[in-house]
Amino acid sequence: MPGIDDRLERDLERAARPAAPDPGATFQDVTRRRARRTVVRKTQTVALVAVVLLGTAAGFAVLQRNFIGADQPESSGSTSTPSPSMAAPAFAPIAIPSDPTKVFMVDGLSSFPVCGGSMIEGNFLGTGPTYAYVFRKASDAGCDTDTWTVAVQVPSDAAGTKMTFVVGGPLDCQDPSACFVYANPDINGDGQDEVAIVGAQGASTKSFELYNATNGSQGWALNPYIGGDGMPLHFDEGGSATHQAGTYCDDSTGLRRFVSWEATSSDGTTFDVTETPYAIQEGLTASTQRHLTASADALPPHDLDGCGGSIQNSVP
Amino acid sequence: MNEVELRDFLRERYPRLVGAVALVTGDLASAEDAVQEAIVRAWERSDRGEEIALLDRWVATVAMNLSRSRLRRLRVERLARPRLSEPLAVEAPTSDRLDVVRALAALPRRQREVTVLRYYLDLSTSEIANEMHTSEGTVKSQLSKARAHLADALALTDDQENSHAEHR
Repeated sequence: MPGIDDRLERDLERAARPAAPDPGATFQDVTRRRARRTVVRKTQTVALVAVVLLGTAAGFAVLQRNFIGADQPESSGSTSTPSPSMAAPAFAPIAIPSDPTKVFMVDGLSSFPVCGGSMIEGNFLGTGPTYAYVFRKASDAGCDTDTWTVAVQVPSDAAGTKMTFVVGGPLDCQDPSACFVYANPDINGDGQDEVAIVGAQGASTKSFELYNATNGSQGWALNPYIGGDGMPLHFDEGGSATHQAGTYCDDSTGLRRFVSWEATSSDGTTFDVTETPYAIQEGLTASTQRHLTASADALPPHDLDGCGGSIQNSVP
Repeated sequence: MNEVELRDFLRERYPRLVGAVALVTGDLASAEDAVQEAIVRAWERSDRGEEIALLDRWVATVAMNLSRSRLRRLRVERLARPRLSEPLAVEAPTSDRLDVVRALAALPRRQREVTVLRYYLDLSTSEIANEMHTSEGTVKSQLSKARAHLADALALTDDQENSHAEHR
């Protein structure tokens, strides 16, 4: 009687059933199988390429739509068309991380991540309190782009409980630490605040632009006031012992005027002041400048004095 | 691999490889399917310039892996639907053949594979370990357990086992 090894060798040899006896037929089977695999693989490759191309095209279209909306200051950049008579929004402001380098997404804003946000509350739509923001666009690498955008929360339903954004920009910011929402003045006294945004800041000076939300046939748009050169108007605040600048609103004539001024001095005590009042209709139009002399303690008002609203001096 | 080599391989090695895989899977059709698929893959590799040193071993291992995947898929499909028919009837008993087939079928899959590779395809334990990407110790352990179960199932006596062990 053989041992288990011999027994297994013998029994397995007997038990193994013969395969297809015709090598020619098997060869045909193998050849057909290979041809089928080749076709399947080519089909899969074509399908994969098609999926990748379609995905790329769709992604590109989404990105293009989002960035075009934020990169064209002259375009509407609007997202919805709520009624101006809508009740005050009941939505909460966006929670902005205290770390300005932290990248985060904002629901309803866009598909791109942002960072370095700042916020201010104001009546930017003329319908009640809402919130304005400045965000820096983030990239895959983090908080490192040179593109900033301004956005105002807009109610998107009749009850005012849901919200979306109207977006403007890109903002002309000189560095990340000097790009933030600064104030919510109402420079023309129409009850609707403007968004003042600082784009450059020194030790004792800052330069800001004014963005105004309008509700047209295309919905809400958020655009800066434009100067005669077609560029956004810049207004300065602060200065040195021999050079000062400021902005204020003047109701003394019974007609609200927004005034920007500059003053220079050779001795720090007597200043030559140039005031530029703006006519406020559809936009801002610089009218005849006024020149005067003033002592250091009698310079015109500054920090948007008389324009209402509040000042926010730095990034939160 | 050219056409002549492929035809030679099909004539000389194919039947035995199908038999080996069928012993593991218990199903001749799926064994043939798996072996043919493995041969096609070997052929494609050869056309890409990749060399396969021991073709029959490579085909046997790939075919067993393929059959394992198929069995797993069939098992999932079977669990996913209610039983509509009785299990397939086994072939009529024919003495030794059925004994060893039954005994083999009762083993865990891994033990079945090493048993067939060792006793039917005559691979050494180191060759099996190499093909199955495992250690030789694991193969010996699996073989030892398989032998014990098969000896019991085939009603070999302890004396027969002991006398054989002494001879080895």
